[in-house]
Amino acid sequence: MEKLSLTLSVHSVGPNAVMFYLPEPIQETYPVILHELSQQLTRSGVIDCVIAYHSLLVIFDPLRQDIHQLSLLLNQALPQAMHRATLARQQNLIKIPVCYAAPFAPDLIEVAKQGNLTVNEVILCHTQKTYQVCCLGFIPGFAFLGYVDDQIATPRRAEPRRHIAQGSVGIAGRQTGIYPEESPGGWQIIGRTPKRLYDPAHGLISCFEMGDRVQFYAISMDEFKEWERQYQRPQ
Amino acid sequence: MTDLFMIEKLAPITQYQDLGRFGHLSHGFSHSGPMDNIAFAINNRILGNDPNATQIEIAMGGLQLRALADCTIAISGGYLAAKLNAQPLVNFCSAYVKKGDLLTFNFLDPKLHAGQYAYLALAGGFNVTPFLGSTSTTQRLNIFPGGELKIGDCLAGFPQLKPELQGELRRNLPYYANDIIEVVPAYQYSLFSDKEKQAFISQPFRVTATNRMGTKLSAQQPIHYAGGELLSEGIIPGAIQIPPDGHPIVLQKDAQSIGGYPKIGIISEPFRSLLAQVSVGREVWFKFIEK
Repeated sequence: MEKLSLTLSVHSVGPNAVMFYLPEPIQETYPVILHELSQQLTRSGVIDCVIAYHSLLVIFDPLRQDIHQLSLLLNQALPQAMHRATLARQQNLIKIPVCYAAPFAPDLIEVAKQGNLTVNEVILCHTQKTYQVCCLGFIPGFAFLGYVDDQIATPRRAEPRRHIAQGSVGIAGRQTGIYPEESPGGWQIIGRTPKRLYDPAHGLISCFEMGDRVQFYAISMDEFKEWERQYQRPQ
Repeated sequence: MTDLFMIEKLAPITQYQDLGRFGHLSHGFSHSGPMDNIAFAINNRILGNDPNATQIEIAMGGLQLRALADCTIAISGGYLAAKLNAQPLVNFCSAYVKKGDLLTFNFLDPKLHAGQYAYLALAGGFNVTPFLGSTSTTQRLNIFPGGELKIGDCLAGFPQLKPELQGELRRNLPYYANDIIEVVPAYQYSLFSDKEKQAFISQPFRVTATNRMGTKLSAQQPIHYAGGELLSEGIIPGAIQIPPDGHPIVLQKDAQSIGGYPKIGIISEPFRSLLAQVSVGREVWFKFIEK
């Protein structure tokens, strides 16, 4: 119960938006706390919310709500949200298959070199830990997962790539994540998942919510191909 | 519901927009919606439409449509010398269209300083199936409710002739030659030094690139931020990012939802709309206003 002293600081962001911050440094409970708070806000009728790491951006209609009202609401909801966050270990665990084979992993050797590890040690390190969704939304379906062990933490590439294939799994600093669609990007690519994370034509908007837990497991190239075949098979 | 127009020629941007897609920003879905909210609102108002009725946003001009049925339209926004059967249409006014008519939008003349995004509205709105509650297009994310428009496609709606035509009062029209943009201090404003804030309001900024994601500007004296590394946080259209090179980027309707650059303030909707209409090469001045 040592975290009961958390307070939200408030910053105006123009006439119809406001930013709430939890104090730095970031704690493991933040994603769930912020997710709970954003749910409360959505029920109160705000236009939109964006959660990232320790911040909660709220967009509202100034004719219907104001900053004081929203602050009051959040401060009332905070103890409950903190309580939920302590129970969060029972929350969603999402397992993601990843093929770490060389054709899908152009930066795997670079990441291994950085940490003085073998390729197999990198894979072991990446798969043994459970990560948490700390931030969403660079593009739909993208989740920033935190945090990888220091030995495989690798800075972004100096030169971003123009095309990163759909499903690519990357590392950027101490974060890891999956490109849900083909995209430009600067993350170090160490594998690829056959699992679809974003497919709006079939109603799949996102696999992740803030605070969800994610674990990767290694699959072979044959298993990868089998996954892809199954996905394409008509239901 | 009937096909009302067939597309004979496309503009560089010819896309459906309503007021935008709200409630999904956290998952990375930009709000989108019209680059020029003022022109969009006027169009729906003079037709007596719902404020959220779907219109066509046209960038730079070059669109040509053939009417397949009688209907009532309105045009607004940037001046693209729209014509109906070679007869000029009055901007910010409604007009009757008869079956077989040819509706054309000319190419933009940037020297006119008369805006670059135009809107075509239909009495009753264009009929488009929404995605996540909105008919707005977000090209960056491959979101095309109603399909990505191409030559030969038809635009559907209710064929109706309104009992009377209307136009907007001259004094209510947006002034696209405006070059002073009001900025509300926000985000990291207080972390910029007084010298940098002063530099921000005491020199002109030239638009070097602009699209539906953002407007890039450059100045003689770049703006610097000494507040240190920031964690990425939620961003919205109108926010003014200051990247390490010191040249501001104003976020527009298709911007992404989070970013890690410091922001010196936010431009409120009417001024963001005016800035969206500024062509590359023109200069604007920023001015801070009280919160």
